[in-house]
Amino acid sequence: MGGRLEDTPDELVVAQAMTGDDGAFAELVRRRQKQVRDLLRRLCGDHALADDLAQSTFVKAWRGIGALRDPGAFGGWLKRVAVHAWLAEARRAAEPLDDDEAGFLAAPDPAPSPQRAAGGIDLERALARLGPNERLCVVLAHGEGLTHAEIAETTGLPLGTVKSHVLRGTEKLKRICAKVDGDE
Amino acid sequence: MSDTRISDLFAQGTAPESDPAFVKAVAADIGRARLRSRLLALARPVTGVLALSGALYVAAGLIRPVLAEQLAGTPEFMGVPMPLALAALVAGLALSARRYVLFR
Repeated sequence: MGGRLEDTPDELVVAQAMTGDDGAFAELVRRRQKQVRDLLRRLCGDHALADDLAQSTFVKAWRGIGALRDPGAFGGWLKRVAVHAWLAEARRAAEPLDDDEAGFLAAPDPAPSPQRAAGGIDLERALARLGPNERLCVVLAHGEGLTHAEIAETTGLPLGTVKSHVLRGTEKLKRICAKVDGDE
Repeated sequence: MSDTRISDLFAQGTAPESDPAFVKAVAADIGRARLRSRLLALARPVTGVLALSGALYVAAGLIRPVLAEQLAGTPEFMGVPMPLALAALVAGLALSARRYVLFR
């Protein structure tokens, strides 16, 4: 059964997992772990915390998957679960969710990391310099390819706020990355 | 810095494509969550029965002196006054009937 699951289309695996099939759910974890962990690593900027949140995201998904109506909606729903796990963690850690322009301008240049040392731009470190809500909107727009309306639905932020965060966050990110590019 | 360059940056990620250790860790977490929910499901009715028994025990202690006067001289069934035995029987039948009607 395990061998066959690997070749089964996503929607069928989700449909099987919805009936309580643990093997099918494990296959979904195998397929989606990179996507969920990359999303959370970009939001957290801390790999260990991001991976813990990814684990709890999958446990929440396992609990809730039976209530999912459309197997095709699994991907978007899983992203929402991950984003809510991060938002809850940010609130628990009392990280200010309001964006602080002065803080961004005063923030020090991101510290060198293996990725930067290798000549690349360290996206996670660059994102860490954005405010949490801006970071969330930028990551969902550029990393996950969501539309502004989808971001508003996923995050619960007003559409106008989402548009502004994506625009301003992207500009800030470009300025940070251009500075890193210029330093090289 | 163009939008395409930003998209290129986002196309890369730091998480591994395949990570059996992570999948195992999630499976272990799910196992623990399942055990916890089973224990909770078991604990709920047990707590209910214990609470009901405690309440009945206290109520019996309170009404015993009053009933003792009224039931003095009534016939007994295995040491229990007949009116009490009949009341318990009727209450049991009523509860069973209610359960049957509710969960039919």
